[in-house]
Amino acid sequence: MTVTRLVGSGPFVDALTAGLRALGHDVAVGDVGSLADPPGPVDLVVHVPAVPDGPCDLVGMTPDAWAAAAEAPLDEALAVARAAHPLLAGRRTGGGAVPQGPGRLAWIVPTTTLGGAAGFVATGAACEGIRALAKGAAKQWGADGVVTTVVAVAPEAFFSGNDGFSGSDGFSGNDGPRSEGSLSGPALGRTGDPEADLAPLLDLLADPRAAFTTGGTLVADGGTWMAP
Amino acid sequence: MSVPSRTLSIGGDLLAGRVALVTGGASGIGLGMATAMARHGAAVVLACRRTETGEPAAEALRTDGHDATCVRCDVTRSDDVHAAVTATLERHGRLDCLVHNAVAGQTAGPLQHASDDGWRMLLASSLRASFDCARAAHGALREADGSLVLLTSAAGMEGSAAMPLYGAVKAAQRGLAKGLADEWGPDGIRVNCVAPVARTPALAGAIDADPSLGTRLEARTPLGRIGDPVDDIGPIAVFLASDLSRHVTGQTVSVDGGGFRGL
Repeated sequence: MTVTRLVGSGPFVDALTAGLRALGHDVAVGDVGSLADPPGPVDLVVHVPAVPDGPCDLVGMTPDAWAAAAEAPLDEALAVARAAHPLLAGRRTGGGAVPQGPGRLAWIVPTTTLGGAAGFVATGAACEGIRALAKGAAKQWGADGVVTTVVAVAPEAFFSGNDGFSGSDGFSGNDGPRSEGSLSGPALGRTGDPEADLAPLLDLLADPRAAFTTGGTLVADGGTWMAP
Repeated sequence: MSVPSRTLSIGGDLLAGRVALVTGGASGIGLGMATAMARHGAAVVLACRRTETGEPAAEALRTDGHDATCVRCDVTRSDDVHAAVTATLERHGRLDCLVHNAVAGQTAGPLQHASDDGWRMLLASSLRASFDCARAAHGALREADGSLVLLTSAAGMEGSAAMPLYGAVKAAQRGLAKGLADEWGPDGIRVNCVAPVARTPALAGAIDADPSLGTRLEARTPLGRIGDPVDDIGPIAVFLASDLSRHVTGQTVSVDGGGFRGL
């Protein structure tokens, strides 16, 4: 059984949790402090950073709002990495009879961050910071048996179920986070469901057969963002 | 080290009548960019944490016939950033280009043991200061169809084993720039990043301490040498501050002799 710790909250995290449990994962969900409870080796740690689900122009942001939207998610990502390292690296020294692959640390971000989007400057800053953190951690911790991945998903999926995104207040229209970078829709015709499309991808990443990929960003948005 | 076959001729009036504010402008890349912009006719304001280094730098530029001043500015203090923009506007009546170059905070080493204080300083001097610079300058840049330039690094694009947190904040600045380019495009403001490698006093000190560092840096650089802050990095600031780049926004320009080619 794959032991998974999910850090985050909200409808997207709930859907991921349901999907991973359906695939047989032992999933615990909580904040960064929950990572050590219960202690012991973990196969997969997933951090879904808490970013604002509505647009805000930078000039209109207060410093506190900026700190919450841009700095706090990045800060939390660092805390997750630090807390996850002993759990994931511990698998190698767990003493199990069955050889194990590396432990994986994954972040999920909206593809909004890849190209940048008006109204989501803070989110873009936080998530681009997280992508570089994932690369640095991959480089430092590869020898420890820890690999990292960033999964970039369509904003329609990332914010799915949030009142702000699906509501009728205009947020889901041209002002909302959207799959930018394409004048057409996703190649696969849909932007993805957390439970049906993204949880299986995380399951795949936790598999030892995926052990040789680390530090990269995997785009899972149905084929909207294809650059570079 | 290879030497360019042609002597670079810097100077002209591309930026005549323009005003540029450069944080961390007392030395290194900041001063190199300010110097190049001044040589192209811009009035430059060096925003420096320590005026004892910033004033002599501005004086040297004035001695060469340029319009240069120094304003004290600790970019980790929002009030200082806003005051630097205000002082620029009071003196010159406009602001065409703000370059946020200053950075502080040391976090080299294992992520697990990185200094919290160093991380906080990196966040404050890079990311929060970018936010403050942008907010403080928005109105003036909109009036001028201006340009905001943030200094980033290859470490923010390819990640860094040696300085992973430095890479994280530099990447965060890129993320900020990309989003802000979209947000401020309708205001006529361009927002771009520059990722340089240059022989700054800080890098020279590091090479002095570890001579192999310079050799390794040059070896990974197709052009075979480490850039000069004025002659190699400066022209990119001129370009991004001038109308030559009027249709360029949301981009990162690597100015490193080809060391990073991943974009």
